[in-house]
Amino acid sequence: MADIVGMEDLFLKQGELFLKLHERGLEQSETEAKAIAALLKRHGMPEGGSILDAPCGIGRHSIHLARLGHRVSGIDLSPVYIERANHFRQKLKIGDGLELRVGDLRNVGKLLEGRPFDAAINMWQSLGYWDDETDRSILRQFHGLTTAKGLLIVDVLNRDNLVKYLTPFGLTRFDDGTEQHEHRRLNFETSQLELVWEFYNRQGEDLKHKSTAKVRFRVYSLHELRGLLASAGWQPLEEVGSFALDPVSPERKRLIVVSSKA
Amino acid sequence: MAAAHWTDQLFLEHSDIFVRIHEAALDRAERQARGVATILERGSVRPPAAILDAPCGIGRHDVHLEKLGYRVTGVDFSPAFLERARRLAVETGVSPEFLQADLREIERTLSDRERSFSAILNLWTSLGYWSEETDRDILRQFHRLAAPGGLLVVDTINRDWLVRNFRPHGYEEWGDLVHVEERTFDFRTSWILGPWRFYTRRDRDLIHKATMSVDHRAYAGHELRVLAESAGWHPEALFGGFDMAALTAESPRLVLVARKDERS
Repeated sequence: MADIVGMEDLFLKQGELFLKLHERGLEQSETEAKAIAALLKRHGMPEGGSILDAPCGIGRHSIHLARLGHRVSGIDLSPVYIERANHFRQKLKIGDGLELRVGDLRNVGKLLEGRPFDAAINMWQSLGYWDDETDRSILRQFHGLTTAKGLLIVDVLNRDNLVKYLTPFGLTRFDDGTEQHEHRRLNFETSQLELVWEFYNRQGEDLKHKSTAKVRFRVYSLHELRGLLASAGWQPLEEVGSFALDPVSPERKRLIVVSSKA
Repeated sequence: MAAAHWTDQLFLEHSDIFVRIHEAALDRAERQARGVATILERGSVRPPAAILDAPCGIGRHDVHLEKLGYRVTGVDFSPAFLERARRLAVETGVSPEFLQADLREIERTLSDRERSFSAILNLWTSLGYWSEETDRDILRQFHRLAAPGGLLVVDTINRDWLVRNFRPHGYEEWGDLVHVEERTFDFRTSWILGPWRFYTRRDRDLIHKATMSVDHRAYAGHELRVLAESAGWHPEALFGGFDMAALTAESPRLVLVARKDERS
């Protein structure tokens, strides 16, 4: 099967396919951006402070945070996403407060060297694609890119919610006739969530196969993410389990941790 | 003055209570020991290999492993448990060796036994009582006590089963001994916290015997694997129990099998 792609290929070569998933997220993104801004403010973020959004995807959060008056820099590996983000930015008439560029998260420290931000955000399970050591390195780079009072928000899936509620299959239908089948498995030896995405075109009652993507990433429980943050020099301050700011528990899908520099 | 650590309270001060809990587990000990033996044999550790069981409690696995032909050394820090273990050995007609030592200082107690055990067992959730660092240190001491190519078998509660099946309260009784457990799952640390209360039933009353805060770190499979690795072991398998079933979030138990390098 020549059309099986890994995560990076998915973002780069098949960016347009993944774009659909991002755009599905667009509707909630304003609420999410407001929650992020509220969390940052609660922990001393200055009014209109600067935010690094890495990776930013199609800019769902970057754009809304800029609209809320923050200066935002977004980076993403995928030129397709950055182009898309620029499209939204023009549509919504966002001014100079938003800067978008293509770049690799693993190299973020170099890319934005000498640009201290008031906060960095890492959204939508954007850790865990390589290994724990790479995650630690990314978090350390954020540490180097933020001011002395800098804050960090990491938003990932809550492993304990998956332990309790993971269902082995999910189905998504897109407006353009694409149907996505997601086959899911949690690997208990590695703590990786292993996903196989089958994309089909709906033709009448038939599903014509378009492509397959295999994705795996490390998922963290709260105590693990706190340990990882601490080992990268961050001091976890508060954690919530949703963008409605509910407490973390296995009943909540997300793990959103706010940290300050230790 | 700080209160005594719960392990001192439960295993020394109130050892009579915990001997009864051990005894309640006696009837499944033979089946469990056979499961352990199958795991050992799968790892090429066969009778009459020397095995260390630490902590051994009242020796309920040791007597059966000895019966199967292994030469077993059981170590525990509770004199009351060891006394019961020696009686159990007489009752069973075998004679494992039983020694008193604190798990945290086991290497010092067995200083003349370095590199001598073909397998080391740590059963019934006997890690996670102090800190992750202490656990790593215990596993490092085990590593030095193990013969080259020796096996480590750790059996503990599976954190992920707890995530799915956590209950804040527990109740058990053994004859007139009543045990009421209140538990909190601290997700920030992955520790299970909470008071255990013991009572003696007298008619319809429960007469309080003892209360202690039994707190322990609960590990998920991948965490135990990484912990053993960081102590020098090479993990070979993770099972959901002594029956060697696949580990899932439905497995109440977590069994790690790891090996010491042949050349170390």
